[in-house]
Amino acid sequence: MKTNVIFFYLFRFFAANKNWGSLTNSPTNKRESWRKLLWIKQDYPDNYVDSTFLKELEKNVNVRAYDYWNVLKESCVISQHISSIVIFIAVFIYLYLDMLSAQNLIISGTVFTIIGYIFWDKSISKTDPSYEYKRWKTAKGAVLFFATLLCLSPILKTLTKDTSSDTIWAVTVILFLTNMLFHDYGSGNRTNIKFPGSVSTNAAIFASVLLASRLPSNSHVFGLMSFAIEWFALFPIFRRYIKSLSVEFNIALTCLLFMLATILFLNISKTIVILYILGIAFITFVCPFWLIWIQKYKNEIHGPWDEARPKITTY
Amino acid sequence: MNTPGAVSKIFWPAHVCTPRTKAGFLVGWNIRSFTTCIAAVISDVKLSDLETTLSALSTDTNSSFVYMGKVCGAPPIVLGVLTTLFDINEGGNILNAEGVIDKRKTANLWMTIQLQSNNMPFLRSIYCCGYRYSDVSSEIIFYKQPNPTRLQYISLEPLVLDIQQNGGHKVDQDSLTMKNIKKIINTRLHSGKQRTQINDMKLILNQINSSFETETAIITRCRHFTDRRNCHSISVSESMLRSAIFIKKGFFYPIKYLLPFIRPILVQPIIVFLMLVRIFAEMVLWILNLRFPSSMFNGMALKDLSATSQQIDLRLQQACFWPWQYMLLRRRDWTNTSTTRAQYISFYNSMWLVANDIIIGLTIGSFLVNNNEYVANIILRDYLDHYTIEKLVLMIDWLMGWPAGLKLNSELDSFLGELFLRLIEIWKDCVGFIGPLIPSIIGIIGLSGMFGGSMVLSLLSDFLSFMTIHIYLFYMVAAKIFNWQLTILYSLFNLFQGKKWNTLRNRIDSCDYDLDQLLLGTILFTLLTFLFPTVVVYYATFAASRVAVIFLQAVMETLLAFLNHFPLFAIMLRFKDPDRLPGGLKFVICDPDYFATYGIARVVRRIKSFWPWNSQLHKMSIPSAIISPTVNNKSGMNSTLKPGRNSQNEESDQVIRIRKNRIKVDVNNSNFTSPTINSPTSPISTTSASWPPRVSYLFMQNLPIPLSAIFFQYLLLWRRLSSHYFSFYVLRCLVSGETIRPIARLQYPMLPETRPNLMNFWLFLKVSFAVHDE
Repeated sequence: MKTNVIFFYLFRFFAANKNWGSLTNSPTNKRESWRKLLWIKQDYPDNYVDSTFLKELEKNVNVRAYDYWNVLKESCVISQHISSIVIFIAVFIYLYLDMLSAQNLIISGTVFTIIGYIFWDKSISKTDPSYEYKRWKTAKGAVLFFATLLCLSPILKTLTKDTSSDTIWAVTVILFLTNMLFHDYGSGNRTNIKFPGSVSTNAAIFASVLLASRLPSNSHVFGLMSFAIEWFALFPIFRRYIKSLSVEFNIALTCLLFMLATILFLNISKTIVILYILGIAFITFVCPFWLIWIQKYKNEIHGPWDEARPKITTY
Repeated sequence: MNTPGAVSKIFWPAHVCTPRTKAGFLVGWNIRSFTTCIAAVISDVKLSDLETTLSALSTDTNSSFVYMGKVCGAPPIVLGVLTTLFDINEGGNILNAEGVIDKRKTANLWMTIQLQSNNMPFLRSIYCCGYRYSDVSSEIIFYKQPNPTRLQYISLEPLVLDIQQNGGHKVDQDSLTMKNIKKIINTRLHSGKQRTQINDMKLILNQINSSFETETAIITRCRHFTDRRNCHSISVSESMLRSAIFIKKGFFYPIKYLLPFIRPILVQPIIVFLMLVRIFAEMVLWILNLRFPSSMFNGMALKDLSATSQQIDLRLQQACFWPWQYMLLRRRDWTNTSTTRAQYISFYNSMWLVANDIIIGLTIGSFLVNNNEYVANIILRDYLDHYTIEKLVLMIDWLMGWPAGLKLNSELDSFLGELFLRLIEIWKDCVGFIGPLIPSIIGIIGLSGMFGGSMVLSLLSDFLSFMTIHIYLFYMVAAKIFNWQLTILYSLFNLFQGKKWNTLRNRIDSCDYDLDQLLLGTILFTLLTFLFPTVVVYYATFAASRVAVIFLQAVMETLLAFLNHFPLFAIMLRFKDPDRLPGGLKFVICDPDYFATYGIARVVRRIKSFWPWNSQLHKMSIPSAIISPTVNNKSGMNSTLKPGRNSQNEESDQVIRIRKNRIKVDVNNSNFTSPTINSPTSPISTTSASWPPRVSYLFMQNLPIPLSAIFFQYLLLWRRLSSHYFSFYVLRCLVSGETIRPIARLQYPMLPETRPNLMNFWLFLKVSFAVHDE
């Protein structure tokens, strides 16, 4: 396999330079040093392999040595997302058990969304002056969307009336796992990204619809659905924005979410709280160490046979 | 050619092999060196007279014999003499007859054949240009003379009853036959001869087909010769005949005399009347074939919509076609006998079917007219009401609960249920309005029995489709809802995955949706997913009832096809006279005692030969090779490749010796031009040295066409029905909720593609009545 690649490379070289092949073919007494050129008749047998043959081979070019604390900081994104899912489930359980009224949820959700939006709007309009006209569009979209949701909530309420709850719980778990796996955790500075990966968002919304259909009244359904949209569609954008602002903010947000999830679930189930804390600890502290340890098994080779990569230089 | 292994091949008419046959001259064709086809044995005539007759025949332009000579390759000639045992006892006068000895010395081929005591012909001697070939083995192939007046003929290719057949199919069949024949011939290394051999076979078949006419023509003309010689005065019998003719003329004279006066009065109105009928038929056909605008009924023609109009269309087309077909039959056509025969069978078949149809129709019709109240009650109360309304209501009630434990969406379920129940109520009112009319409708259907049972059946079919129109509507509604939902679900599922159908590239591409699109789409997707089972249940119910109705209609369609296209005439011919339906040839080794007995004794002997313990006879009746290039039977061709039952030892199998009778039956050693199996001649030629030379007897028998060829219309119908209804298309329609289009009503290959137009019909009428005039 490897030799095939090398021969291909040699052939390519030969094909590119065959015009001046005849010029270099001059007989000399002294044994010339071997050259990696196929079109010249050389004093070496065909299967000769020179010591310089694999000179251009490179190993593990792209491997970076990770710093434990850096990796730990980066893992905050994952714990944030898990925390947000757990918080959502907790909110649903509160609604389901009537420990939280739908009005409160709607009001607080709206308030937080407006605050977040203003905050985001201010900072965006600083960097992107063309943002002005988008505000109107956003507002229109939001009104339309919430109106539709309001109309649909009676239908959504009775959607799974005849389906057993166990089915709904099972499907919801699967969908939230899908959401977690497909979520766009990208670490680059991507303030302009519109929304995280659509499969992930869709799975979360699907799960929310299922959960909402178990709730007793229309306002409950509307409250949970609007909360779901704020929480799974808008909040990740905000989180990404926070992360791009500063590391401290990010860590603070992580801790806040972690605390919130723990407190909310303390009333519901202690076991789940313990499991949740252990999971977060594993992801935050053990996994970075694991990643660094596993780096030593990395073995990749590069060489002139690789396909060419354009070098983009920005001026 | 003077090798000891030379073989003469003689096609011999089987009817000559009786003890009554007198010695005479052999008349026939010499195709190739020693291959001859004997048409007739002419006795009691002088050789010179016979030759004059033959030459007169071949130059007579008035008769069809000139053309026959062309078809057969050459005019018939005298090929030799036939002697019988009695003649030899009496002194063998025919051998010493005037001119025979000269002829033997000069003729290209001169055979002396003796009819033996068991009535088998036996080649005594053969002269070629005056040279006697000794030790020539002969192979005598009997054929049963086909009688063209009874429309019998033999051919390699099976008679194709499909008169509408297009050329492509025929070419296909030919190529298949040729391929198989080539395969057979290639086992013999003389592949260069194959083309001529096949042509020879065709020539021989033509000769055999015209042998009857040749024989009768020669016999009548020779009798004329002998009569003229015997007595110049009018014999008593002839004078009797003449007087009889005179009386006949006298009797018919007044009618013949009056006819010219009556004719002009009768002919013109008849022509005008026929023309008017024809114009009316043409108009009805035009209306029936007129297509609706594409917005209505999918742009279908009236005849595609109702079985009755289809039936009327078929009958009118047949009526337009019959005169033309009849005139076609009246003309004797030498070129393609098979087409004429097929037309003949088709014409009388359809005539017979129409007669049968009307008889059946009158029976059913009178029953319906007399019992219309009773039948209407049964149909309306017991079947239509019960199955199309009450059962449906029960079904919907069941669906509005939790059917079979399915978790349907109760709200949508009750909405759809109420909707359909309301529609059924409306339909019930309509039926209540129609109800009292039904006895009279049944009565009208009964009256239509005068036009045939098929008309009753098609009217019933239309009545059924009218009475189940609500099921059709429900099916359409349910299918539309189902189809919309399925389409929306599909595109929303794409949205769920962040993908989109790209119409420009006809593929699914990933797409960046806006956030609100994405969120709304997902919510709707969830919604529709959970409503889907409810819609599916209703759709499945109505689709199933629709399929049941379609099935009933297909059954009626099949019954109609049975009435309209049953090959009654062909089946009758197949049993009455299989020679009229040639489907290929079969060569059977002939028992040397085959012609020894005749009459009842032969029947007894043939029955005996079927007894399994009669091993000797059994062995002889093994068919050595069957030549039947049937239209669509490949295995039939394969069987010709492997003659004999056990092909382990080919050589021993192909040469069947029957020692007891000292006759060697060698099927294979033949230059015979048919596709029998040919093997190298060497093993036989080395062993042969002794007198008498070997004789082998084969009987060439006609293989009637198989029943599948007779029922070709049913095969075709079945193929079309199954390819439409058991196809992937229907399944896809059922699954995706597109409406199933019922098959366009079947037009069977009983009629030509185009019917003669009005102008042609006018000319046709004129000509046919003008012919009468003369």
